[in-house]
Amino acid sequence: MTTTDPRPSDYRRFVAGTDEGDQQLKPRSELTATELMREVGSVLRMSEAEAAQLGDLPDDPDDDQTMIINMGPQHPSTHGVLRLMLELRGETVLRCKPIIGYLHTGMEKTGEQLAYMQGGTNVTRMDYLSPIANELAFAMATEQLLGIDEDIPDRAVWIRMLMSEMSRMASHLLFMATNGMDLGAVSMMIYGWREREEVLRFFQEVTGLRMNHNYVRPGGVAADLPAS
Amino acid sequence: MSEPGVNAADNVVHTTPGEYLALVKSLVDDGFTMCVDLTGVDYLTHMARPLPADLVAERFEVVVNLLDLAARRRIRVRVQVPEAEPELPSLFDLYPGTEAMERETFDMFGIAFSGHPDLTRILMPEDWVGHPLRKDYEVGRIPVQFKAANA
Repeated sequence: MTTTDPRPSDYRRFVAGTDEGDQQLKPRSELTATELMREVGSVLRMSEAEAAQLGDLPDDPDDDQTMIINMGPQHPSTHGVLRLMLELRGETVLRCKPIIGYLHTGMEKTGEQLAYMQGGTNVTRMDYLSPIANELAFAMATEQLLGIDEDIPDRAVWIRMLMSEMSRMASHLLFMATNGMDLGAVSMMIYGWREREEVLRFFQEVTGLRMNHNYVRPGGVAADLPAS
Repeated sequence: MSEPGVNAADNVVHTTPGEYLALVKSLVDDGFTMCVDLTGVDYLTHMARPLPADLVAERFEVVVNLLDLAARRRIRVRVQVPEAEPELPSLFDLYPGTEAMERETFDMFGIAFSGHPDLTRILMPEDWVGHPLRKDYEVGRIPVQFKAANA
């Protein structure tokens, strides 16, 4: 098997230029025992049924006592719904298993039933904070499958670029705003949302909606930019 | 355009379950230090898809996208997984990050990964029956009655 290296790498030079040294994750074979324990030992690898069974066992006072408790799935500060299965000794968390899936909406399965032009309405809702990027990925994949990816008008390509970059800005602004809110920096939230609102106003002007645009379609975009 | 869905810049390598682990191991040694994605595909109604001549088309494929950060190279590994024995060796020891992705592939497609430290369902409830992203898994529809709507 041959793979071609497009450009010679400056990686070694970059690494030598930092005082932190090589920060890539080392292969398992090069890890020390302590590092390996920290990496693989911190996850509670146990099914929920097994954990429930443990709770039914009688307490052995001589045993090294650990306790498995659930945190979540509801928690006032979580943006999504996450449940953590925690193994505790006293107040120390020994191991943890994150349990996800509570917000899974089966969009891939939904997508199987949709025509190519309907797909955009589905994927735009996958990440509703950065919808254009999802639409772009879906549209480009569809175009490649149909073999029409060379035929997209230049103007549509550049509008796509502009819109996905604006979408990225809006998404990152909201990320930083809500991160500030979680840290208690409420002014950061206000500034972030204010600037994001400018982007959303522009989007409303172009696509008609603030989010869930379905603007980037297979073949181009839904409409030209407004004149003014 | 040579083949629909294949970009000229894409680097694709096909393999079988028996050679899968050795191939990925050689790619790791070759510098592909990051596993970007691992997922499954159910080709139930596309058994006649274009494949290299020496390869037998199977119902499932597991697709692994790898990235060489130092040399900026990407490669895609496609493994044929038979319906009768949907099992592959786990990549957990090579790429610790594949733990969740292999759990998802198991949950959605019913493809097992031997040597995985915790092969349980990740998105569906643990007692769920069936694997939702298989093409023969029925899409459930619940009839919704709009009581307030005028006929």
